[in-house]
Amino acid sequence: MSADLLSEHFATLATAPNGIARLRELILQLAVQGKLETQDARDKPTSDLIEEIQKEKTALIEKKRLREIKTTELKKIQEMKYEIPPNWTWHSMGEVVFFQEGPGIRNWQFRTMGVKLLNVSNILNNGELELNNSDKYVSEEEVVEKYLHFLIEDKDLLLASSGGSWGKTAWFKDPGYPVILNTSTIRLRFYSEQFAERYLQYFMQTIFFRQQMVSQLVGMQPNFGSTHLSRCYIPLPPLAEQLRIVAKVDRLMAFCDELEVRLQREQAGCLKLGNAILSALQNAKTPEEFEAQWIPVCEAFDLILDCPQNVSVLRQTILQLAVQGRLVRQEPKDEPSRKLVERIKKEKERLVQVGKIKQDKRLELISDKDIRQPVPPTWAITRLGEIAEYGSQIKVLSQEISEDAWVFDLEDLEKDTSRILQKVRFRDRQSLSSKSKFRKGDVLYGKLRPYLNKVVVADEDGYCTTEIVPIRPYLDIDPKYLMYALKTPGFLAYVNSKTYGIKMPRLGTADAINTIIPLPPLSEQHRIVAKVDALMALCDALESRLKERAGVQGRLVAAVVEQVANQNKFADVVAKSISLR
Amino acid sequence: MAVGTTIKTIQDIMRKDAGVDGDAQRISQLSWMLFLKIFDDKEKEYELFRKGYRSPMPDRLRWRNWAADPEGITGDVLLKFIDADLFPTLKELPAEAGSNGSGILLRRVFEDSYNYMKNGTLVRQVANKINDIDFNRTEDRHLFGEIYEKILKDLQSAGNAGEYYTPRAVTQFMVDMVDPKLGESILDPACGTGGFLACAIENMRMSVKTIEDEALLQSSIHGVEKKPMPHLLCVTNMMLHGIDVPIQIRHDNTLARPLKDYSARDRVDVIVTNPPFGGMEEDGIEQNFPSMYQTRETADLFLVLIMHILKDGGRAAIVLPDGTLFGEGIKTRIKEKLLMECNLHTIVRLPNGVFAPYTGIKTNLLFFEKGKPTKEIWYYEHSYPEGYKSYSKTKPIRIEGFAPEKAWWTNRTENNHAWRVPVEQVIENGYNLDIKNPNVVPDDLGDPVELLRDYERIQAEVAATCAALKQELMASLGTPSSGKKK
Repeated sequence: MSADLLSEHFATLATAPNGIARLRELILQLAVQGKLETQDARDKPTSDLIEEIQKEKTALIEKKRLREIKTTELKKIQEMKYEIPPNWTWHSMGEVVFFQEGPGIRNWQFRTMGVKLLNVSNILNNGELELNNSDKYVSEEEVVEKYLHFLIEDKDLLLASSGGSWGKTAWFKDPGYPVILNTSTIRLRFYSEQFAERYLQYFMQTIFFRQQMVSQLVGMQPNFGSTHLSRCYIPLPPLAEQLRIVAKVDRLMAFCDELEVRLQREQAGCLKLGNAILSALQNAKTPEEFEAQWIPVCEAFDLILDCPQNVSVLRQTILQLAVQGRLVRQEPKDEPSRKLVERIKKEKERLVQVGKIKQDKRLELISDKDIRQPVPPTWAITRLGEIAEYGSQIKVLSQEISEDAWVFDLEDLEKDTSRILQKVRFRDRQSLSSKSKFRKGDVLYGKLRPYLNKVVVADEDGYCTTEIVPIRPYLDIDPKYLMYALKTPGFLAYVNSKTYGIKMPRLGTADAINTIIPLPPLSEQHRIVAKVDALMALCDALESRLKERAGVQGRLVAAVVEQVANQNKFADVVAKSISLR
Repeated sequence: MAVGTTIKTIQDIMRKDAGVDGDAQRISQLSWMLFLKIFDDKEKEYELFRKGYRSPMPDRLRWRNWAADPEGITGDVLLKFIDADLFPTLKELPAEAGSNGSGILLRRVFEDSYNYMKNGTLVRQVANKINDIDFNRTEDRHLFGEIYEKILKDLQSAGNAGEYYTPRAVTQFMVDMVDPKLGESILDPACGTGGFLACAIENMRMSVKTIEDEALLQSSIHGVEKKPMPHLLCVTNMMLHGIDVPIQIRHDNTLARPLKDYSARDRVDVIVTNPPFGGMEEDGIEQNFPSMYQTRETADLFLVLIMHILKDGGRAAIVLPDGTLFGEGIKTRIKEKLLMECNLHTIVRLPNGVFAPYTGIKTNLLFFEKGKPTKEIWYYEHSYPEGYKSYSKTKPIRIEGFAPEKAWWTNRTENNHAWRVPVEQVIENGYNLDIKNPNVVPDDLGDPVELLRDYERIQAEVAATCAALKQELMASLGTPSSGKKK
């Protein structure tokens, strides 16, 4: 692979889940490997300086100003060292970096005033220091007595060394009052001021440094001290290159910041646009208006559907358009659904007379205000209770259910998608509560937490919890049409305005049977169902591919990072490509 | 009806009673009633099969004579009977009552119990519910774990004392591997409701042939439980498992006895236990231990105790949290002792969620034999069954899940789940037993170039699907450029 190919796919890396964060890791890792095109063979190694440091340290140790740290070298960490440019040198951290862990200060030592204690939470994730978000102090007397050498000095680098956010760093700037180190914090600085201090900070953010620390981790709670730090290794470039590396990394980080903001804005814009134009399409009242709203959707189609969230908005739009009669052509020769409604009415009257069903008095008549959206002339505006039997099915006691009967519970149905997650037989679900009996072809509607949008057409006879209402359409009404109608955003909005109960919101029967259902002629119902099925299948395919794409993107970025961390040949390509930025 | 549901119903009935205050009292009430019922069931059995069996109880106090009939005495009559006759008589029962020494047992149980209920009618309802539970369903004698679990859940405080119910699969696996033989004494020093002991009894009973064998079995089961409620449930549970007079299940804190007071007589062959962990012992308990092992972490104290009271050559299986494996300080000294005095041959590392919902912490099963120092430790990493992300109430750990370990046990080779660590390595690492599986294959991230190709392919598919969707929609809604609906 060439640097060009990678450069070409730079956006692919950046837009992956966590892509920018990975990119930053890459940059830092390449920097400490000496691959960021900052080398100059004429630069002298830092060995002279190191010797000087050693002398100074020995002097300090003799004067007892400094305690000698005896490091036990760990084989597994030694093995992590990688190849560095010829004028770089490897050092153990303790050799070149001064570090000091905070003292163990106990609860009873805390005061409300005195000398401020540094807290892990003072070190923010973004590398800033915020001293005002904690107020723990130790009395001045105590500090003078025991803790004077823990006073933090200007330009100390502070490191959080325990807890989930370990590894955060920040520079200490003299706030005008004394602050001392506390447990779980470490201050560091290069022994020589000639070293580029920011190189140290960048180094401590690399995967390489973190890996060295993690390899020493024991237990559940991360916690590091000087011993762990002293076992780590740091590669040191010549002084001049240290500065060049810092400058280069600074620039690339700024570029990442910019990219991050831009991507976020693009993402938000895409969502907003998709939402706006698709809902405008749903709400169009006249054919002219509809056509006007359809043009922008067509134009921006590929763009908006690049976000998986917009695919679900499109699904809702499709359903809404379906019940508006916009999805399939109206056939003038179709029998108007008014006739169908009349036949149902007669049938119901007959059933009432023979005592099979009761007339529900709560069913209201259709008035003009119920017609919010105009429907084609062959359609009828109906109420759910008018065209279907809502929840009047027989309740049975658990004892009467046979062992291999299907027992359907709300948890078996996936929200929104109406996918049946599992089909449980009675023998595997020994439930004691009474159940509603349903038949194949009934529309099963979850009335508990209706916003979950759980509706499905039963493909087999069975029994369901009383939180699921079997809805049985009269005569030949297509149950799938009914199901789709109960999944439209219009219906969901209606339901959400009607539910009662705060913890367990439910849809009441009276509100349910008065739901407005625009009813197309029978043959059109079938055509709509076929069309919606086809469109939904395409949405499914699109969604799963978008998901797959994000997965591959994530793996790709991880693979690139890994290649770089392991110094494979590929690392040079990445370095080149990134240096081009 | 599921036992859990019955228990719930019983608790609901008790909740109506003015005398019972809080879950703890409800459970205590339930425990002694359950005990009487099962005691009576057992007696029926003895009367049939044992000549000369004499009950320690006066006839009128036996469950069958006052509780078994759903239409029996109720209301104030029943209440008066319990308070003025049943309890006083049983508390004063002479030790020699009954033909098999169960008088003492009854007396101890009733000295520990109270009748909290103040409404005889409700007592009758509870008795009738208890009669509904079928304890003789042989396929599952581990009802007590279930009952205790149900109860523990209501007693939200259970976790604070480090009490966790051990899943049946884990007890079964540990007992199977330790394989206690008839004639060996077995002890659970923190026995809870007796899950481990019940498993051990089942294991040993397979080799019982004669009456003498049975007597041997009866005398070899020992348990100690600190809390009265699980203790009583354990006694009842043991009776269900055929221990006639479970007098060797003591209500005591094992740790309360100074370690040096245990003599050779107290030593046992086999210990299987899940000591409470994360809990802290009361002040002074650690004084019973040699000063170099003094700690307040219950699990650590139990580990020391177990090493002490095992016979030479004795075997143990114990559940311990990860914390004990990697812990430093006193824990290090305890582990040093363990590796020196015992052969810690196997550690099975369990994943998260085995003890759900009580705790999510990771646990380990340690198997060791006293007498020889450890040379190497085999680790086995137990993995979730396919498709599981964690264990839960509806997806619990099952004994079948331990089949790979069982197959591996006698024929050990290193594989993706099992690895061997020489003891020197552990000592070098400061007795840190928390050793990660070295044989895990790192996730293969794949080749970036190939991934890029994959990406391009999927991107093309996305575009194609998107185009198809647009086409399909345009077929319905019209092509904007033509400006006309089809």
